[in-house]
Amino acid sequence: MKTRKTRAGTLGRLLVLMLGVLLASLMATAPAFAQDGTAGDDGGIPVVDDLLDGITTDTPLEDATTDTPLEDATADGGLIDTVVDAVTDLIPDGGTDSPTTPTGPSGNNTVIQYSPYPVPVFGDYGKRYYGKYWDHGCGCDRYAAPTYVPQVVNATQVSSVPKGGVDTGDGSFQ
Amino acid sequence: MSETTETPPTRGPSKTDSITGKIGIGIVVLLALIALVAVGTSGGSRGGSGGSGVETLSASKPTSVSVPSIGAESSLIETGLKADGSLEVPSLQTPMQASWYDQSPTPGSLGPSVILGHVNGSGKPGIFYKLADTKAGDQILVKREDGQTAVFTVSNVDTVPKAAFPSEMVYGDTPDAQLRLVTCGGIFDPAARSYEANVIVYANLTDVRPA
Repeated sequence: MKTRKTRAGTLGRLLVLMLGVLLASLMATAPAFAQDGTAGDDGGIPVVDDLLDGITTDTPLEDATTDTPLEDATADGGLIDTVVDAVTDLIPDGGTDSPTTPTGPSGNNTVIQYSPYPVPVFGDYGKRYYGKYWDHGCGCDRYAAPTYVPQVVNATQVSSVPKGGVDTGDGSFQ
Repeated sequence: MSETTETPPTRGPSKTDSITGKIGIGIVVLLALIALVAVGTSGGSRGGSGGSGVETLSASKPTSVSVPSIGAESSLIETGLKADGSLEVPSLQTPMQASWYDQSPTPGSLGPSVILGHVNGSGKPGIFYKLADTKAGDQILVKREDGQTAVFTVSNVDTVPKAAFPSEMVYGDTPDAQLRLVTCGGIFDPAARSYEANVIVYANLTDVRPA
């Protein structure tokens, strides 16, 4: 029994020692990664900042804008104004936001503010019996919609099934 | 030691087991009998599927209708279908006149008999102006040419959009004699000159008064 205890103790110590060595090796490799997420000396993930630097130095934004200035385009034939007018005509009348026209370099530069898409109107929900509503008579939910298609009725006791509802009233007396 | 692990010999059916089994069978039989009685006495689903115990009448055209609970009473004329397939109704000039749809069974006969009436017309209230106020249990009396009066009892009152008119429930076959009273309801649409809904009263034949 005593020998068994000593063997178990020895194995336990060995296990703890191996775990310690493993942790130490992991901590030793940790400094290889920089704080900004770049890899160590042995390569791996490229640095994003370096790539951006390369792009900006190759084709500077200033040069691109000086090649085709906005002022020239508008001054030539009012191309932007024409496009803006066309787009403005396409905006639905139901929109509440109208385009604003601040004075630009050409004196007639338009900033477009698109109106929100008009909400489709199917009816006065809850009053005109569109959508889901509660029928107190049968104690159940019913459904109605403009797209409702009447079901086919199989009736033999009624000789001819009428189409749809009944028009009985002219609203002249409420 | 091994003697303690032996399982005891199984017992045969004792007297108490036998009594318990008999009691269980008795309870099951009793429950079945109660269920049969309940089914026999219940009125069935909406439309009263044969629960009233009143036999259907032979065909005889109706002559008048009255709904005492709302003070409605009218003679009956016959109306059919219009060219577009919708129901023909009495003239708006006579809003107190009700009509019977002549393609439906006569009131008291097997099936759903359909009676129409205006809610209003020509600036006056119609025969079914207060139809939506009827309640389950109210009576509807329909006199017939043979002198008998078919007495119906309201089972349900419904207001439904015309766009979703429940044709199956109104015109579909029924297992006994039933009645439908139909008029307009809901909101009046001035542009369409029409109400957007229909009020429908469902009733079952519950009594027959002889001539």
